[in-house]
Amino acid sequence: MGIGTFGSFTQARLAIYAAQTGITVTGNNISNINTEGYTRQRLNQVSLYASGADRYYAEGDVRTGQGALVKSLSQIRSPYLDIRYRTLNAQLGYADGRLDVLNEIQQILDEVGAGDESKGEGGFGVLGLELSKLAEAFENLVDQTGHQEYDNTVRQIAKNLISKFNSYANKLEEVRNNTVSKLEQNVEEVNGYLTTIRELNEEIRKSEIHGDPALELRDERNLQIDKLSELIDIKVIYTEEEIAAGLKVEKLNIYLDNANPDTTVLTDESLLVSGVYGAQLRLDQVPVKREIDPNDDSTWPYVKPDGFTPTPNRDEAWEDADGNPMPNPGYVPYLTADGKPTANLADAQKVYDPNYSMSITKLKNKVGEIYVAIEKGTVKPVSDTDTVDDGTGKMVLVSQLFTVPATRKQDPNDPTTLPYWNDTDKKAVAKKADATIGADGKPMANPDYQPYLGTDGNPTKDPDKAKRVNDPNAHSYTVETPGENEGDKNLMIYKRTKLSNGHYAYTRQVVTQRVSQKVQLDDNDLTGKIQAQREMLTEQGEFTDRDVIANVDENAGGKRGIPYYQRTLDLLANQFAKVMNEANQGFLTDDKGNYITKGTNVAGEEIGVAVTIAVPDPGNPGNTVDEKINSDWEKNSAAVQDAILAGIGLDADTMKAKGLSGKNVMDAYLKGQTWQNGKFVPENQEDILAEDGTVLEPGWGNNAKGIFRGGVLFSNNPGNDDPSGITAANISISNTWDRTHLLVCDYECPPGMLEPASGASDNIRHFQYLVSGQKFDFIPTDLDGYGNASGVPMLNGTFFEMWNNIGTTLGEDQSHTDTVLNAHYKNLLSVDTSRDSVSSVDFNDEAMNLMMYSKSYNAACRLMTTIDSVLDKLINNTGMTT
Amino acid sequence: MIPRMTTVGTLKNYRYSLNGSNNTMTKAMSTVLTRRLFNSYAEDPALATRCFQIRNSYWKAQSQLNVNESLRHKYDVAWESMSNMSTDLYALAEDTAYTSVIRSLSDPTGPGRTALGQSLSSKAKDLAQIMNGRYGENYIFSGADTLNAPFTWDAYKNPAYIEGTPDAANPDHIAAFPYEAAAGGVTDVEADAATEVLKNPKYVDTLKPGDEGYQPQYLHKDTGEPTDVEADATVPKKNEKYDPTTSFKYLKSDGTGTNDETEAAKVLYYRGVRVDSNEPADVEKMEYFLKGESKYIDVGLGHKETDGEVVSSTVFDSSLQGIYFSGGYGTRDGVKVEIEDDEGNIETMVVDNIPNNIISVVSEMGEILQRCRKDDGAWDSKEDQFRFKALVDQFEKGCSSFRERWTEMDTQSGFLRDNSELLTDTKDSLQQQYMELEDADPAAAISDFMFARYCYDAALKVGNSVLSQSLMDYMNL
Repeated sequence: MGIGTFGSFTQARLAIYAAQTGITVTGNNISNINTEGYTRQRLNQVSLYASGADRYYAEGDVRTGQGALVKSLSQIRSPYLDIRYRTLNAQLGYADGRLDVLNEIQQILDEVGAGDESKGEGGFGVLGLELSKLAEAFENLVDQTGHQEYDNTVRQIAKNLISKFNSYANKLEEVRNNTVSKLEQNVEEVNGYLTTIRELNEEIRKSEIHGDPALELRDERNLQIDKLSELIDIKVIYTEEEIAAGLKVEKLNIYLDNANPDTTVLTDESLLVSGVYGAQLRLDQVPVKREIDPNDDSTWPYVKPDGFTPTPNRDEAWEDADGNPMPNPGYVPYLTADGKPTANLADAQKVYDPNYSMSITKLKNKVGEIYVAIEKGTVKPVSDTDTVDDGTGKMVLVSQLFTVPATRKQDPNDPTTLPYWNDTDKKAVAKKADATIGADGKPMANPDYQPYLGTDGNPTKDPDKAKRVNDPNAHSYTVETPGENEGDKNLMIYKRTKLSNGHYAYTRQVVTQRVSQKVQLDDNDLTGKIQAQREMLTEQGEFTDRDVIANVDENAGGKRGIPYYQRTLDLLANQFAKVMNEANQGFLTDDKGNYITKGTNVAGEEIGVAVTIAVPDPGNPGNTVDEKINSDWEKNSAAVQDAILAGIGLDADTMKAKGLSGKNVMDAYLKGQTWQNGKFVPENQEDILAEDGTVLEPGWGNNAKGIFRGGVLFSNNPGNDDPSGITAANISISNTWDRTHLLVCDYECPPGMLEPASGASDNIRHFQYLVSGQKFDFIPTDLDGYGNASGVPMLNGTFFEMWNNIGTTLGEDQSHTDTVLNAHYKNLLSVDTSRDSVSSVDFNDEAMNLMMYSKSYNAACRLMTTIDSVLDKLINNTGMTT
Repeated sequence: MIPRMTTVGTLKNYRYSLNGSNNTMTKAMSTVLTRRLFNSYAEDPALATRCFQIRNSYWKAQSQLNVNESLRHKYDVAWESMSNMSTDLYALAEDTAYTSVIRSLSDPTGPGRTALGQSLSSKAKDLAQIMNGRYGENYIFSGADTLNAPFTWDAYKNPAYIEGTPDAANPDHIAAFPYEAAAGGVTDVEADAATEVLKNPKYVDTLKPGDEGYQPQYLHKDTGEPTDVEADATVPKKNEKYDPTTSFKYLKSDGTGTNDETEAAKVLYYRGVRVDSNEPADVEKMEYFLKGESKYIDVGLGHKETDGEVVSSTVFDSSLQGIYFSGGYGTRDGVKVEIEDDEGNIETMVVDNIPNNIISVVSEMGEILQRCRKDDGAWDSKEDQFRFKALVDQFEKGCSSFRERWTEMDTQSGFLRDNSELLTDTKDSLQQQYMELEDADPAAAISDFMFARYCYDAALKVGNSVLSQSLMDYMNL
């Protein structure tokens, strides 16, 4: 059929409408050229064509299109480019996250350009320069030993040096805290994106159901996904979801993108968003535990085999049949936020797990319903002779799944066929209405009722003993078994179809329903900015525990985050303090190196005499002779060495095993110490006094066999002289050095004298050598608390070289990361440009469209005019003669 | 397929490139402003590391140079002191009075000797004073004992002094007891002493009483006359090591003891040790000062320690021992002295305790001359005359030795001067090295900056074009 007389108007109208819509779409594209994430839209129009054969149509008539119809709007995107963009974005985010932190560390530890140029420091170095200044101060002190102003200079420069250590350590801790805050913010950001995406999914789903493609919502969703991909690595998969018979809508799923190189780990593919369900990322928290206190058995976790005596040692614990230690019922393991002990985990203060471990919560929808993943297996045919589990554990033929117990017909004369009881008449009845209502409000049951026909042909009450007969209404049978986790189900769905020959065909389908679970992520499951920040917060490089390298991340020893730089600085400060403290403590010797003590000559003058030790007299068995003790362990005879070891209760094997030097044991002997429980006691030089002045624990100072000089120069607190556990953050000038002139200038006294010469300076020269020339092995295990770290020296060098090495390592890390970041950025830009070439708005394109739709509009209007003109002729002028 | 370059895509690319261009210009600007090729380790880790190392070496060389200069000045002062001492010694050697004395040792020239003696005593004090010279706050010639004056004139401490009540059982106290005890050991109780009989040396056992030339066998303990009565000749046995001065802290000039410090003779001490002592304990100390004591300083010789001990060849020993430069310590015994009288007869005497130290020598020469008779200048004793002669010989030897040691010091001083130049060169070279590594060539840096700026300006212009032109501008609907 051709177009009707006025149909042409419709044709023109549709053309005008299509052109106008095209101009609107173009206008929208132009308007949104600066809108972030906007994808250009395209008008899809089709030619309107009335199909179907007309019963009555004129011969010679032709079918023509009836105009243009606007069908839909669509977006132009490339899923492949989206995938590439998001993968690269995660890598970029990772490099960016690392570099961000490294740059902050650089602000602290990189001393290029630092220092006061006006003081001739050349803009190079602060802490490094202080080390050089300290060496110079010692050198000056060598020349000017005994003059307090030079001594003060050394102390002042040492103060400057440790203030740099303290300052750098504090700033590094600040960087660490800032990074924790950033990580928290980024986790919140991820969760915000996940929530937004889930909500957008819901909106898009609703729109789709109503036929709206929701392009702007999709743009917003893509933008959110792009942003999410910078923080964590994701994989986006679109599937279809059947919401009603024949009606499917798009379903967006976001997974982690399999970042873990360990192929046995599957948590790196965890689901984050599935349609209207979404998960959240969580930073794990752990309760604050109490330290084991040897004097408080509520801190001891186990009980001994007697069943009631607590013990802190796992080795002493009573074990159950499975080898698990039996817990101490009085164990109070946690601390509350206000520092009080508690056994209740819920009351305990929670802090972030030291590894900043993360987990993914259960997927939930807007109202909190938990997501259930349904996996449907293939429908497979089953033979009617196959035996299967009917769900009760009984194996039956498949056909028996579709049977029911055979029932008997009700017979008014046979009370055993009647289900109810009339207590008034004392007889069984068939109808509920005739039954007596019992005390429970229900119709009373006939106690003799036997509704089933048994397999032996006799009536029976027990349905299990009844004969089974086909249930013509049964088409499906489901066997349900519990799944792996709570709430999971494994369904075995059997179905049957009646064939034309009256037999049945059986099928089986396995359906798994998995309830979304919390997923504990592995150490390497993520990449992107969040993983970079996690690594920068946790990676310790050479200080990593060997168990972690063996069991968690074999590459951890080469990954250096903030803790690495903190520990390296700690190691430098600790080694520095240790070496300087050791050099400043010792006993006076004579010119031959023999330890001396105070004696008198015949004139009654005090003189220095050698410390001696009784050793067996080889020429006079059973007797002893006194021998001098030389400060060089190797210069002492074996008999002297043995006597010293015996004097402090030590043997050569223990000395070797504990890594004690000859100087250590000789110092202990001269102090009058003994080796007890792995240490020399008494430890303190001064007596420890009670408040009333009584001696609680005598110090070794009054019992020393030699003349002790010096003391601790660097301590862990300015208020004490405790050299244990020194770090860059706590290194201080010791209380004593701060108040007095403590530097030992020399240990060697001229013959017969009790003091070194007034200007003797060999120990000062030794200090200078230690600070500027001596090379040390910087071994991670030397740092307190890192006994299981790498035992390989990080560096053999001077203190300055170690400091320089920190800068070099940081510079290399930064340089490498910067290169990687630039490469990723360029790649990302390239991919983004490609995406833009597909999806973004171009003025030229839109100008072309404007022209095109404008011309179309004009033409359609012209068509309208033409039709009007033609019809005017037809209507108003046909048959008119002039 | 030709990619579709969109307005949005073009703008993103432009933004990235413009940012890059701006970065390049900022870096170029930073190079011009800081004059450094890099401003962080990350920009060139290897170069930055090397620069830090060289700067550290530079700081070290600077420090070594400072100390070397300080040492050099100390040696200059020391050299000057030695020069003054030398002047004094030569002046003495050429002094008329002195020469006349030594020319006519056997012929007193009158009261001039006493005056010369006073002059020599004063000179000895001057010499010690010169040796007590200081550089800054440190005594130059006191070895490692830089805070204390090395030479002092102190009361002569009695080396035999025993504190408290002597104990006969103590081997160190034997000298306090006059007798050998009958029970063994020593004693101060005469009744407990072992006895001995005073033998007459002229007794001849072959002669009998009445024979010509007969002499009784013994000597009477009181009169000393010969006697045949053994009991009269029996006396307590003396302790050969007995020293009657053990109860005195000090000794006087005449060798007797006193506990009054002001009465004691004033003798020369070096760092608390009597210079003219041959006591083993004093000798041990002096030996230590001369050979064992050192004050090592790092002046850029490769300061190194092995097993905690400094390698002496890698450091400079800055200790100057006054005792060494003044001729040493202790005294010599058995010095044979010959004096020819006016008649050509040569008289010989062996003298002991001739000091080795030149200050002690001059001092004792002064004392001897002051003991001469005031009126005619005659020697107080023959021993004085011979002793003076021995001292004159020792003085001349001492002067010769002094010159050698002065030359030795000059050599050390020369080494420090050379080392100073070497360290200056090293420092300059290190500075040159790090400047070459760190410092940007100003011409290159400015050119780079200008080029970067040119590129940035061009990029801005390009951006203007990118934004301004599109088909929209040519549309005429």
